[in-house]
Amino acid sequence: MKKRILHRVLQFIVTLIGATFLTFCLTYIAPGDPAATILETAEIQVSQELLDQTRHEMGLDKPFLLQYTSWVGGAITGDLGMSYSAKKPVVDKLMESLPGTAMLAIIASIFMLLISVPGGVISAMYRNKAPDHILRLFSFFAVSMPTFWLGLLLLYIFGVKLHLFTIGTAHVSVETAVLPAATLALAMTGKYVRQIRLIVLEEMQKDYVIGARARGMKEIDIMYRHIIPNAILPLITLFGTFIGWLFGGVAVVEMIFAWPGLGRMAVNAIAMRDYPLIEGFVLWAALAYMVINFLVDLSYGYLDPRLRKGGKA
Amino acid sequence: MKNKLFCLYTGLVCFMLIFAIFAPYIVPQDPFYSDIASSLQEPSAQHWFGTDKLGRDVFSRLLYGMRLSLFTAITIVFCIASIGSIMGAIAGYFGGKIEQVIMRLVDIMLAFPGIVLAIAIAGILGGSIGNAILALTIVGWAKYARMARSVTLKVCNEDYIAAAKVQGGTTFNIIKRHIFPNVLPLVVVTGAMDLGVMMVEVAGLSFLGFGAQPPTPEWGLMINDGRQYLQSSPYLMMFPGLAIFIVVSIFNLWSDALRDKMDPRQ
Repeated sequence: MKKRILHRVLQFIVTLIGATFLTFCLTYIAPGDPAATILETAEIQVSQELLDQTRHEMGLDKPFLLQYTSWVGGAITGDLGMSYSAKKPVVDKLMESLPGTAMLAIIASIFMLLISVPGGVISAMYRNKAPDHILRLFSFFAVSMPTFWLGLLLLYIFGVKLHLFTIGTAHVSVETAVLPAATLALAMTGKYVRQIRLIVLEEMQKDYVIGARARGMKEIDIMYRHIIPNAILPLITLFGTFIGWLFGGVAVVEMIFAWPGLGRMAVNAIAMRDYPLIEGFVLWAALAYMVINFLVDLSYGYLDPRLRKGGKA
Repeated sequence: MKNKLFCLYTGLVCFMLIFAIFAPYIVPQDPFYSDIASSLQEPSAQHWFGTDKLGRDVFSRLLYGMRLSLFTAITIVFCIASIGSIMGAIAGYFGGKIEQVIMRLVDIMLAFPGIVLAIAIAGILGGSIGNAILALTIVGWAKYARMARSVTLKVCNEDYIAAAKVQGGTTFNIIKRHIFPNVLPLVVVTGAMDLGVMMVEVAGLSFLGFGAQPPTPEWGLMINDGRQYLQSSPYLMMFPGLAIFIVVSIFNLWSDALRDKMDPRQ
């Protein structure tokens, strides 16, 4: 167990270095000079002398590898540098946007679970019958629908036509989170209904189900007492991937709903060439995704006694 | 039944390809021609899908958008599938240090959501269709490499590979003649399924401003344009969205049918 955790942490570090290094390389070769951009946005007459001075202050005149290693050094101590555009520490900027994204992620996951678990189970129970066909048709459409278009459609139907939600309010509350969260949940349910259906169908083929049936157990009891508890592990894995993805901030949805989260922050940071902030965002998105999936892996041992015994599943 | 459906979907896909290729001869109006006097007109007999804020014909722009969308999706899938399977085959065939390096790279790429990195790459390099293709290629190849490696590992233990080696077959020839034909079916099926995904992702990048730039007729960009007129002219975002939805649906149906055809176990 300890060895496994150590191995995973090592993989985390390698991945984080890989992802941030790639981003760093890109900012280095990208067109445009952040120092010039900053001076221009401050409406200062750009002279070569001033440019050099600014570049020196920002540490942009140092050799490339030195810039990266000093960034890594800072990152280890929790200092991700200063955001160019906001003149604030990157960590503070990330923390400002995190609550919005976290709230969206939690509400979207609740929606997603409420739709796709019953959907998948019903689809499997009525395999090749009407409910299954309807659900499969629905999930097929959901898979082919671009998230940003779905978001706009919901905004149009519920915001413009039905006036149920106000459009373009940027404050974080449960009420304003409903539409963006529903967009995220609906966008992913297509995929998850299909996968949950497959997981449940696979479980339904096992011998213990036939045994339970032979003992005269009701189908519905077999489903709730045996099949679903046994199918919970792959379900949790799916769920972990979903949440991990959400915690990185889904840029398109946050942009459509003007939601103050990490995704929108990242898009704005890119538009402003705010490299430290982009760098911090990539680091956060990768870390959140990996840590959540790792926690899911760890939970297996607690949820399934069979995996606990040997200790090396 | 299965075969008939597959033929039907293949027909639809070909139909779209023909539309895309011959778009310049089909469109009723130049997609770049703008006539401010007739801007934001509702759908009519003259402009089937209405006109946008610059008075350009939305139907013509949609057709050109399909051209671009199909072209970019096919390019990306071709790039990621070929880079991925070559890397995977090399890793599986040679093993050792080369495999270590390639597979660690693959692990990194698969360890977190690629779209985050794709946004960062396309955004930093500056919005253009070329950069969007590059970004999605950088984050997309890893899946194919993992697949190609596992097939290669399996094939390498077969007797005919040993026989080819004993006969003095060159490495290049063995990979080309014996390993690639084994890797190909799986890669083709996965690639077909990725076509729809890539169309949506390119449109998403363009929607955020990190893909095609105005005045290019691109679906994601058109939806983003339509967003500003959501209250007054909702058809501006409705038609490009429907176009993506229908085209991606057809590609998904086709690739599902293709998978069923190639893999009878499913």
